Amino acid sequence: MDTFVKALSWVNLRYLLEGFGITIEVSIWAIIISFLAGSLLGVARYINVKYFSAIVGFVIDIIRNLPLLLILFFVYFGLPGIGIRVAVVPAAIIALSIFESAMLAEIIRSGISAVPKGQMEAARSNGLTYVQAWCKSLCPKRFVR
Amino acid sequence: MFSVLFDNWGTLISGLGYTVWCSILALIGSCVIGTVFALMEISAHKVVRIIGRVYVEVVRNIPLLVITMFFYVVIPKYVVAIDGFTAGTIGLTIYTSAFIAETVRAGIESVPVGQMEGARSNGLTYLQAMTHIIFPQAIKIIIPPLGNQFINLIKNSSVLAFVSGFDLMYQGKLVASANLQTFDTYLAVGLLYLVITMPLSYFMRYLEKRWQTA
Repeated sequence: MDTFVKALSWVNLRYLLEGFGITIEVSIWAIIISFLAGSLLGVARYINVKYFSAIVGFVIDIIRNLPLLLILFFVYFGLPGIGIRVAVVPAAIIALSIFESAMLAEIIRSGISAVPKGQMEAARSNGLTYVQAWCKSLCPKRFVR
Repeated sequence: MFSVLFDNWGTLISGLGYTVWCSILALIGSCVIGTVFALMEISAHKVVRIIGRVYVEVVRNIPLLVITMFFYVVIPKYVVAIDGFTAGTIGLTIYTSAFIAETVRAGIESVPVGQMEGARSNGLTYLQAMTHIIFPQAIKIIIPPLGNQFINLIKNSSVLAFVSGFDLMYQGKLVASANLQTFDTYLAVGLLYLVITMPLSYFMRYLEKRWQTA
């Protein structure tokens, strides 16, 4: 108990709060980047372009099946082996974004495929082009899911 | 990459063995603990429900590393000395049990309420109804997410590297710091992780397709 109270003393608390600040900073950056990248990847995965989707899917599968720690170590310790040096915080953001984008891509892809196909057909038959139908009616619905 | 792989084959493979062993132990443990807490969450007594809920919410929201460090540093200091592998496995078990509790609870709640009512009105006790009627139906819903949890478990076992747990990640760190070819080493470690997790994940996908409830 004595050490617990000491741990919460201002001196130590300052260190912990600094660390907390870094946690928040890394998390926010990683969330923003991975949301954008993950959506792009998820859509790219869903639209069945001949070989591109399969390759993207394979890369996403590989990243999803690796531990986050390994990706982190690889970015910070492994990349300098071939000359790319990254500072700590950007390395963390990059690694987290890569991992989360792959996860999000999968989630978004399954979310998109879960909404019935009839909606696309209905939108097309009302005269909207592919892109118009996508942006105005389908995208909002599927993102909510 | 392959030269690193072949030169340190023994070390890395022993790490892989520890990883798999830790994952299996943690899976069994967390399934048992998770099921207990899931049953607590749907219990009829309010106090039991609250205890279950609090446990799941707290454990789910603490990082795995913090839980593992707690078992690695705090327990040996105040209770009994345990080595890194055990501390890591216990931490992993506790962490995963909260997720499995949620999964099992969702599975049990997805079985129609009428089943339990019918079972009770036919004279079965709560425990008998659970074992013979509810669980067999819930299992089918639970298995796919459980498979995903197992894959997550294998990936999360990499945290053992921080508590000297001799797992694959730890051996990878050792090898990388010894031969300074970090790029190749971590690539090799990644390959070894993929050797376990990719077949598992494709197998889970195959199972899901086969058991697809339209």
